[in-house]
Amino acid sequence: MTRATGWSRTLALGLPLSLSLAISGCVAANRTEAPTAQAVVQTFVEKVVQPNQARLVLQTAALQAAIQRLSEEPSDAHLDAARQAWLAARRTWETSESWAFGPAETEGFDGAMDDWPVNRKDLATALGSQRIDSDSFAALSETAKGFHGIEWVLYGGRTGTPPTAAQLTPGERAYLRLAADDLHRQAAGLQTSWSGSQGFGARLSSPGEAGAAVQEMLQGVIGMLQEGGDEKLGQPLKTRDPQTLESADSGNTRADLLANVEGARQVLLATGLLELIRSKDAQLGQQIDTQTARAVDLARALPNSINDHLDNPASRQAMEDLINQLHGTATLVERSVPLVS
Amino acid sequence: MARPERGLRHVLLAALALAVVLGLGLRQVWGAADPQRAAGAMTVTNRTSASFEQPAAGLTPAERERHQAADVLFDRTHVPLEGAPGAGLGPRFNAASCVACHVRNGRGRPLMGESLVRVALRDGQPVPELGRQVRDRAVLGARPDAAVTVAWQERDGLRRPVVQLQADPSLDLSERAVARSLRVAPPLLGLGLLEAVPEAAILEHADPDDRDGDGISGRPHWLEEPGGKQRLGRFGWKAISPSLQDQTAAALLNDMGLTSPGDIRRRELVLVTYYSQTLGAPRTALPATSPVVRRGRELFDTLQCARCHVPQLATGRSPAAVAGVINGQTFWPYTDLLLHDMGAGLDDGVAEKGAPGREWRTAPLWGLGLAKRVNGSVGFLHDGRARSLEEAILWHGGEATAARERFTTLAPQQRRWLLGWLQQL
Repeated sequence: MTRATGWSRTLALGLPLSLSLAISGCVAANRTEAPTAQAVVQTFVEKVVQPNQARLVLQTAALQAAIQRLSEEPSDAHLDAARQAWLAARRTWETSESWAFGPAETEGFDGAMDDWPVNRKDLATALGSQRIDSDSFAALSETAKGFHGIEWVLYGGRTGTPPTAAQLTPGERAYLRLAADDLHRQAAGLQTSWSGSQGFGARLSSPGEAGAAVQEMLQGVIGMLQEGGDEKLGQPLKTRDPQTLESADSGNTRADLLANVEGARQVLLATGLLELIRSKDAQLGQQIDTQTARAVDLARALPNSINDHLDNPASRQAMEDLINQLHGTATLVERSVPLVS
Repeated sequence: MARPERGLRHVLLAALALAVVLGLGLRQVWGAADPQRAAGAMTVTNRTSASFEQPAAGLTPAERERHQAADVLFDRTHVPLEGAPGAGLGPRFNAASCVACHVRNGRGRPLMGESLVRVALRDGQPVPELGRQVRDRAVLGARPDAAVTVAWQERDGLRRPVVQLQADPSLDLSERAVARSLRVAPPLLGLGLLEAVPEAAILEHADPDDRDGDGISGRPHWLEEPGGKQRLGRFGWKAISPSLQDQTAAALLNDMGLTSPGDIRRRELVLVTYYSQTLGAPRTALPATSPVVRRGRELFDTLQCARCHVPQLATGRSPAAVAGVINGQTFWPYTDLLLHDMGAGLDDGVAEKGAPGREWRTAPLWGLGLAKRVNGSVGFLHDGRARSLEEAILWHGGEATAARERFTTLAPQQRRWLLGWLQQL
């Protein structure tokens, strides 16, 4: 038998291997029956984003109503109801951070609802005047409105102590009404921007755009994971300044982060996107599944009110663990982008 | 066994020869570098709406970490601070954060809150009590310089902004007295590369007196510093900043009312600058071998667009480079970084640091095709007046008049090739 040369040996060894890999790839793909990119995007828009936006509209309306009751009858029960309504709407909004692209960013809905840090100086001045009306409210910057402006008043950002209903001034109650109206208007505007045949949702899921749209979905997840690690946790860990925590006044940072990573899981699991990734690279899909689930666990393990724990070594370790987890998971998700494009 | 093996070798050798020929051919057409890798080794492959926000490729882990730290600062929303009046944001300002105007690091829209208005008296002097920029927002208790409204005047399918200023009646801000120039934020792409192009390489393209008689000049914008030293302007719509740190400091001061070291420490200024220096630019959508690219680019040359939108530049090598990858890069921004007379249509009467109203720095074209994906809408030129690439071309006048006229005579198919090529940048 003649000795095989380099070329023929490569062919002899490589061809069957390639064929077998190709065949096993087909089998794997058939077995998982991965959804198409188009189906993933359609599901994302119709089953994840739009229901979330509809829920936010309802919950901001509920917050409006709760604040109206608090304003008309300032009881501690009504104040507590307003805080609960704020927390409920907040959870829905924070779940959406992974799809805060498109109009949320380009039309400014994100900034109008969720800009921070709070403009404490202007807010204190405005509320001190006791004469806040729609004109003076309109003159306030975005950082003195939205979720965090409402939070600042409901949870006593000025004094550092949550107020009783009786301690809320008429100016503060008037501000809360105007801010809740504005928040609801922004939530409705965001919903409208994604709706209808000309809306962003329709444009995103239009035929021929599926590859790019799936990339946008993944990029949304990556951006959220990075922001969570670098800004929401990284800065407070570095500076030890509680004011660098988002939702510092309500002590809701942990719940915010938990909702953030749960939202990322929704993008991956509720749309079929993870199945699509698995069909291209089963191991990577599995890793993303495991690591995003671990991020949820680590977010859940954070102390309830991080504000009070920024110097606590165990809490700092928990924050660091989550930061590393978020960064690592972002890197994994980044690897999936070329596979599904 | 011998025959098929020899056949296979022939096929492979032929393929290799073809690849060499094609490669050499492309090398002749495009030069040594691949124009698809628009920012050389700093090219970003991500072409999603987050494309312009990506750190450049090729950064070391330490550089990337520094970039991420700088990103947090760049994204920071500023607020007024307790203490002296004017501490923190303002008291007058245009925006509370860098990203308010550089939305996702892309173009701002011609709306107040995402853009600003530069002004000058008709004799070129600063406007009394207002200076050269209208800060149309203010913290509570302070008054903005003026309220600004932008209306649009449409003629022959093109629109131009009409900027109205309303302020204290004692100030004469009438159109007759005060020229105004609406400015959108430019996209932040490959800025570290542009900063690292040796001055001599930029000056090679200059022809301020049009000695070659082609109707295209290209004037370096020399900026005199205290002490008389001259530096070449590179950044801003009229190349009014010689470096990214100058540009960043000016934006923090003029657009946000932040002073250093009062509101922002020098270390933070350097870090925000670092962020812009270590951003990449996106890979083009199509390879150089694509027919759209070959035909479009050929037309770009034929029309002489490339005389000002110089396709290829290269950085020098400096031990002071903020990131090693910036050194020795060949890249494809499509600008000469020089000022050109763009004609009366784009003259809004506001001169800046010696650059008259008609003169504008050649805008880089990289990332053009992603404008809509990044920002949701398109608005090209300094004031966002052009709603499409075609409109932007049709606004070219002055030195670019002949190029514009050649564009208007293109056959529909040729026009599609040219625009198709631009759209994939």
